[in-house]
Amino acid sequence: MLNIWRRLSAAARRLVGFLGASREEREMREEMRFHVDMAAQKNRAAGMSEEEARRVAAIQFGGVERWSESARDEYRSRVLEDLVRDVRHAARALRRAPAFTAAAVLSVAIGIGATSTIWTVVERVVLRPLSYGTRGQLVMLWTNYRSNPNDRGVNSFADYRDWTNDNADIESAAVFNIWTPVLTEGDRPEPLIGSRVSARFFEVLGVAPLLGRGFRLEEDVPRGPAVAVIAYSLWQRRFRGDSAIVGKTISVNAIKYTVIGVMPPSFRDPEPLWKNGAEIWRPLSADAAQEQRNWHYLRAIARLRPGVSVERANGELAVISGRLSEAFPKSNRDRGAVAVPMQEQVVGEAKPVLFASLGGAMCLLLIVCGNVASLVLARNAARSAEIAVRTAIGAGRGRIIRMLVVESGLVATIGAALGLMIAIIGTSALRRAAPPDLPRASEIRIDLVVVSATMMLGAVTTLIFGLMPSIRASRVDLARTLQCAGTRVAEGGRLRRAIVVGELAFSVVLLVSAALLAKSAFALSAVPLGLTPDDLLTFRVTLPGVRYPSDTARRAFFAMLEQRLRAAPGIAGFAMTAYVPLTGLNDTEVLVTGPVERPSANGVGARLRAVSPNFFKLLQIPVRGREFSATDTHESPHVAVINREAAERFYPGENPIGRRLLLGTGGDTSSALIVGVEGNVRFSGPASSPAMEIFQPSTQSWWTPDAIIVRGRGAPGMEGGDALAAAREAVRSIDPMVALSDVEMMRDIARRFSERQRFYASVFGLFAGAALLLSAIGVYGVISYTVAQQRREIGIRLALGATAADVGRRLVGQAAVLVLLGSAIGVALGVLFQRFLRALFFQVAPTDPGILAGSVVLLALIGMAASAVPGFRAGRVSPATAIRGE
Amino acid sequence: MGAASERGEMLQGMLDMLILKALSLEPMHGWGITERIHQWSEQVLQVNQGALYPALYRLKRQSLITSSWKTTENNRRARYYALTAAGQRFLATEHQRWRRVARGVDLVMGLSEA
Repeated sequence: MLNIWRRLSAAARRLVGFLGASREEREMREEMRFHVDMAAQKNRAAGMSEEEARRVAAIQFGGVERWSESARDEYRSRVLEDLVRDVRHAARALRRAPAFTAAAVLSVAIGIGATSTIWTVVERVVLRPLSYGTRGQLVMLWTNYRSNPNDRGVNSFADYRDWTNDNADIESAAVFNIWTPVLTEGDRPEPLIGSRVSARFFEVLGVAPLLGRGFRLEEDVPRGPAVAVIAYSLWQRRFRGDSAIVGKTISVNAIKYTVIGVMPPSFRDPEPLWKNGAEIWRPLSADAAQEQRNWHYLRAIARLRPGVSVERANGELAVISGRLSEAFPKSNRDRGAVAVPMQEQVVGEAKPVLFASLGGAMCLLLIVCGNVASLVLARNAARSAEIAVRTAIGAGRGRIIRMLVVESGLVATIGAALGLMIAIIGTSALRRAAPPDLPRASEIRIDLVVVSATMMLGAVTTLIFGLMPSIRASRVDLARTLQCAGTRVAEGGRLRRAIVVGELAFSVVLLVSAALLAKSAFALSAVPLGLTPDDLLTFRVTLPGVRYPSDTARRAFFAMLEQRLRAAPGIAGFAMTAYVPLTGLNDTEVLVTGPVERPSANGVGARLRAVSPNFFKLLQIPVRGREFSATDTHESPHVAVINREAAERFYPGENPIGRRLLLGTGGDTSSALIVGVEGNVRFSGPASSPAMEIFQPSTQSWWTPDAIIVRGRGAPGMEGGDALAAAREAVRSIDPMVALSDVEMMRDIARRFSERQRFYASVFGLFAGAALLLSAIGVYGVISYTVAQQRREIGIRLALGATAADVGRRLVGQAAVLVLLGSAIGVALGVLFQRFLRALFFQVAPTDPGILAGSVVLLALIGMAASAVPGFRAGRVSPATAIRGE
Repeated sequence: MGAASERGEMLQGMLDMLILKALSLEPMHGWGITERIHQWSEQVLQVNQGALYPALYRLKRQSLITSSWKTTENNRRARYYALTAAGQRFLATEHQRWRRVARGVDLVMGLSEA
């Protein structure tokens, strides 16, 4: 008792000393003393005794403390100066409790940092409208198969024209197609990504050129003028932002194109496959009379009339495409048309995944709130004596709450500032680490609105969670607290336990998500691709049409290139194809009628690929039968290699080699002799189901391949450095005006498939790590708090013969209950949460027992460890000290 | 008024005005201000100390008065308050306002008596 009193009075003295420290305080006291003296003097003059005079004067004044408090309120401006003083005071208090401060500030920083980072990404990628005009719905149009509506493909010009002409739902429409020209300005040719577009392309997108104009209808005609619109980036990079560029000519593919417009910097071509976006556009100049209804090579966009829904537009498209199927059964029998909103098209399946990430970040923020609340609870419990002293010497409840709120506010502010830094770093790291198929990744940048919103959110949550326990603390029962701190049963205990259980549950959710994603990434990279990508270097060589006008000229160039490359020291093996495997691209889709001896009525869609001799050997794709050789020429009988999928479909249980397959449908067919069957190469990646593939020798195809694959000789890990240098040299030695583009190692292309999973696995991994750390702090806090609350009880137990191990076990047992409860809730929540990540899962079930069990065990271990420290330390206290309550 | 003012219920605007008026003659310390108001009001108005000092600090913050430490004739240190130019203007307008209010109150009260 005496002890506590001594401690209290010492604390009180310190407090009074602190409060009286400032000059204003001293002067105020002196002034009031003077006043009382003068009053006493007056009383004496009125005939009172000395003692009486002072007493009456003091009573009249009415207690210095009471008035000085309100006087103090007046002699500063209440808002700012009070705040400054309170903040200074709070800073001092926080500095005295470094562990608490660090834990709380870090928690807030992690929570705010993670949430604003992910929110920024979600906002930029999913929520922010594309920077195209907003009048009416912008859609992409695709050809699909009635038998499989989800299989969408590119369109033929004739179909597009019939869909959009006289369609009341569509205001304007355009088609476009990739164009890979070479800029032949100056001495170094530069390959460009471009697009051939129909006249109304920019108009449909609703973006006007920054300079000049878009294309006119009379320019988009066969053999029309050579005009081009260029991107802002190209204009800046190659023409130094020449403001008089419009009307000048530039050399592209060795042809003089007149620049008629420059697009604004914010404009991005709608084609997501072109990583860096198109930089140059020219008219498509399609010759409607020449276009065949089965030439499917165009992407189409359309702007619906304002008020027309996508559903209505799709209804109309279905009617039109139905009519086309009847009119042109040969080419359109199974083909339909579908409109997909541009935003959905661009964002695609990234949307649920990003929302899941946001959910993950929110989980983390909730954990943070829980942690802050629990830390504040613990701190207030430790400070109940201080608060009682303040109350005893007359501090009002409002004042104490204000003090505690300012403390929480300070924690929130510092935490938020740190969080902002984390967000800035995190956002730029995410932009750099984003998987290539994350749409609009280049648009990700820290967003002030989002950041201030999260900061507000963080500050508010911290304040609420700091304030809630504080209000409780300000209601400290004076007498009881002053009497003895050790006897009461933990009051905030239940709340704290609930908070910790919540934290643990959310940690399980994050842990399970991270583990499932990691397992998916692992499973994806373990799928055999059907080819060996090691040491394969791929690149594309685009020949300017002017210099190589004929197929013969092009073939001659590539024949010479093959000769030079085969002779080059760093290179072993050479093959060509139109589209590099694993990129998901294919030459075209054909309808296959089936075996000559039993043609089917309807064609079946298959992918057609033109490849050079040695293609299969170079990629180490096993082929039964033979692959193409130099003897398969334009004149020799047409041959084909099919994949296992096609073999099983057309020749179930038979040997297809030596049989003839009818390509095309109706009267427009050609037959090819099957000379080989390859195993199923996953041309579109490990997650795709194998499609039917038909390979033709490039000499017998009307696709001229321009993608080159070589095997780089030299040590593994050299990443094609030598081979690339040799290839560049070989191309330059044949024609210095020709450039290489799309240079990539096949291994990197292969790795890309699991990149998404690895990326999100690391995001969730970081979340889970932070969550585990925070939960460990939470568990540690709750057990430490219990120990502090039950010191006397523990002391009595020890005095009655319990061992330190008994005490420790009991406390760890309490933690185990929390962990078990948290895990159970977390597993249930986790399984529910995984539906958002489903798009990313590959060969794992959300209820994967190994992962669920592993997460729970990991959490349990961490929980036990976090509780064992304070638990076993409690057993080592001296019973006598503990019982006395010291 | 005397009884009411002791409970600190004097209208705030009125207290400010009285303080400024008390200082309009010469700088004075807090005790002197109470005494002066007490005397001038023929012992009707007793300014409560608990209201006086907060009011003084408030007026000072509004730059209507200034303060400085001086020695009294009895050789004691005391804080003297003095009216500023702004305080003088404020006092004049407050006085005007008070006159109108007082007249209004008088009229109302006279009416009810009649």
